[in-house]
Amino acid sequence: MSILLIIWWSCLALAGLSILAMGGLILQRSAWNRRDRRDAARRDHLKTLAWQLMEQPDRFLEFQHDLRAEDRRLLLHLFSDLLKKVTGKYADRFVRVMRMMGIVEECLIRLNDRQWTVRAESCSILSVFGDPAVKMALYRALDDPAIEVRVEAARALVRLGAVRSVMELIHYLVTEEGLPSLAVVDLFRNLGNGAVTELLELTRGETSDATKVLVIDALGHCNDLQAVPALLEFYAHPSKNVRLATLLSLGLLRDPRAAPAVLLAMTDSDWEVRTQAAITAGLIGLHEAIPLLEHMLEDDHWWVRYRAAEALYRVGGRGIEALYGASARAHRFAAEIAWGVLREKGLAA
Amino acid sequence: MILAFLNWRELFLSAVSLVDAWVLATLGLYAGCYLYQMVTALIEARRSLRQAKSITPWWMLSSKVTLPISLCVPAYNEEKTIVDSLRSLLALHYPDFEVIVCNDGSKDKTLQVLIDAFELKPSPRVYNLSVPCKPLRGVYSSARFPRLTVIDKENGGKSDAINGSVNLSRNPLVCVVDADSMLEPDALLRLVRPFIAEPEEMVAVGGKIRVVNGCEIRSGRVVQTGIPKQLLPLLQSVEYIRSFQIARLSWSQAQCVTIISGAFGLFKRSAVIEVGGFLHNTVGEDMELTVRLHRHYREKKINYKIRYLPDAICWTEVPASLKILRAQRSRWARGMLEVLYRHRSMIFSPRYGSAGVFGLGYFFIFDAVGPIIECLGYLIIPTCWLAGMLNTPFFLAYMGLLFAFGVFVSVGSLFLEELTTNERTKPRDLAILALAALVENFGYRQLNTLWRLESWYQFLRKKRGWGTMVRAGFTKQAAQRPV
Repeated sequence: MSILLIIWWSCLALAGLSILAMGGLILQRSAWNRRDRRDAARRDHLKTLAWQLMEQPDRFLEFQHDLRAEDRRLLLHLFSDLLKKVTGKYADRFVRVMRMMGIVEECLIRLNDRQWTVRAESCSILSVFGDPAVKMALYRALDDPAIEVRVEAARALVRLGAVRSVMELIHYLVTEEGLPSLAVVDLFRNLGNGAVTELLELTRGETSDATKVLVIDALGHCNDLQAVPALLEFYAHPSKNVRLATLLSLGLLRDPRAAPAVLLAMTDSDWEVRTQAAITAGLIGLHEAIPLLEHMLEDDHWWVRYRAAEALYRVGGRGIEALYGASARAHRFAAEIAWGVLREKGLAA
Repeated sequence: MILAFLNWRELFLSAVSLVDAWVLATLGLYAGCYLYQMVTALIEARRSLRQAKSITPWWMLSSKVTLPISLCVPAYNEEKTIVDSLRSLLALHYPDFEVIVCNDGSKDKTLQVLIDAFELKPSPRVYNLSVPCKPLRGVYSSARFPRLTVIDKENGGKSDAINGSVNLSRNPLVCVVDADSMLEPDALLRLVRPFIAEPEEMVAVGGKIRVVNGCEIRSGRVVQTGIPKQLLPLLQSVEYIRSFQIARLSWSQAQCVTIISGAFGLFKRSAVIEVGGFLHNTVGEDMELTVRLHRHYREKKINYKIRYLPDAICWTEVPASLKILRAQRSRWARGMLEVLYRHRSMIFSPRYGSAGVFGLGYFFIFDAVGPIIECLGYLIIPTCWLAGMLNTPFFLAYMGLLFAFGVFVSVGSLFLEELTTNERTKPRDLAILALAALVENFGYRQLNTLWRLESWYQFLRKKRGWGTMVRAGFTKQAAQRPV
């Protein structure tokens, strides 16, 4: 076959493919649009029925009688969506209705689905059912090949208060490389007071910096002051991220025992750590930090100066006096930032 | 003498064969690149879809881990559209954001319009000049709209205005948005996802720009999507889809996104400051910053990521007149040439990884050198034909192949668009877009090439400045369709 013929055949093939693809696309879009419109209408109808059922649970048989075979798929999406938005007694009624409809059993089966989106959605729905079988299934889902399903299963377990071990969560959710995703961070923040003992144990063990950051952050959000001594072990850690997480957590717990660590961090070589130390000093209201904060107003880095000035304002009383003093100081940096913050807070014209 | 003539003829025929082979090779390279891009774009589209399903907007709204964002909006002579644009931005769905508008020394009443509409008062906000910008004349805020801050500064150009907003920002992420663009209500929730998934490495994420001409707009929002009614915006729609759905998705997959559009891009604030902010004296400031970010992180050997997301949407109006389109396209191409020249050491350099070899290499071959070769072709081919030196069947076949492949690529981009879109496109609109993909090969494509060549001339003459973009305005878009 000559080159010329090959080119013409290629043209024909490309044109044919384009026409076929475009035709297919138009037909598919047309079918999808029809299905979407039909689903939307049916979904609205089902939503109305579901709300009626919540008000009158005795109408369950009537409701079930109205259901079509394809409605279960829509109902699962609907429940998954509404569960996130409904709270209080309506949430309880909602769960009851779902249980009556056999949603639990269906979700347990769907945990073995081929598509990860279906498995993740099932985990999300199961997060309101505390049955032993559900918990066991969620434990198994922690070992799912898709990280999205593992995160959703862990989230469900946290919501149910059924986390077996924090170490297990770390094993399935945290990799050695880089900081974990904020979704995982959020999950650990919601672990609650029950996990404090294990989190404290983890701070003593040999773990990666990423894990340390996660655990320290979780301790800061658990609102338990017994975490403070453990956190104080990390304020001089070689990793900047660990030092930052420690200061952030100490600031959240607002315990004056953190004072020595915060004062030391205020002279850290890294400007981000110094900035966080100033914020923490302001949050705790450390009066003993005032001289250092005043000194920080002369820092080379603007953010350090700004956060130091803000901290002085937060400390109040002597802190604000220090700000007034600094605004009249010969040092340009200190005077500018002190004056600026005083103006911003409405304390100077 | 006859022998000499025969020798010359043979020599010429050999030359023609050589040109034929060269043309085929170029076409092969072009086709190979596009096919590669289509495959990688498909992979990236699937990855984006996966992330979209795992980090849902509802979770982001209810969790406390979403990162605060400062929307930086440069405004120059925008008195007609700025209030509507800002109302739309202030109504975005995102838990924690602020809007910092920078009035870049407008000659019209932009500032006064803002003061009146949002009841602005002078604000004593403390700020640091982390990145260079012209002196600020004032900072304003509003008690009724606490998310809004307006800066008034001396005129210094778009980059200068963005830098001014970055200087006032106190949030970890800054989002650059054009004052005349419109964001989808959940665009920020979508665009921030890569920063949630990889908080340490992610430095910039670009969103998708879509053509608003032909859409129905109410209260600063697109309520009904549609395709442009006029031919020129319609052809641009196809172009935008192809550019964003194939090239950028593919670059994102290969870690070599070299443009985060200045109309809608999210950046880590510290990264922008670290590289010195947006550069003045260039009309390609968005591409320049993206390339500089690549350069900075590659040279410092720091892990980083720059991505493009196909489902975070920003709507923009495209020119409906040839004159304005020509000015816009020449400016874009000139901006690209300026960036390539400034960062010429990165082109094809393995030191800069995929960004240098594939990202800038692609721009160099297809967008810088490509138009020159194409224009040469437009000159040489008719000359050869007139002189009877052209292998006409081969030429026709070649043109047919080029045309068929162009359409195939456009259809591929429509397919990817369908894969990543959340809306119900009308089948009729799809068919019209496919037809437009055919039509654009006759005239529009050639015009674009000429404009790019013009940009070479402007670049060599060291032309500066933006020119003007006359817009119909979003309100007029709404009037095009019955409500």
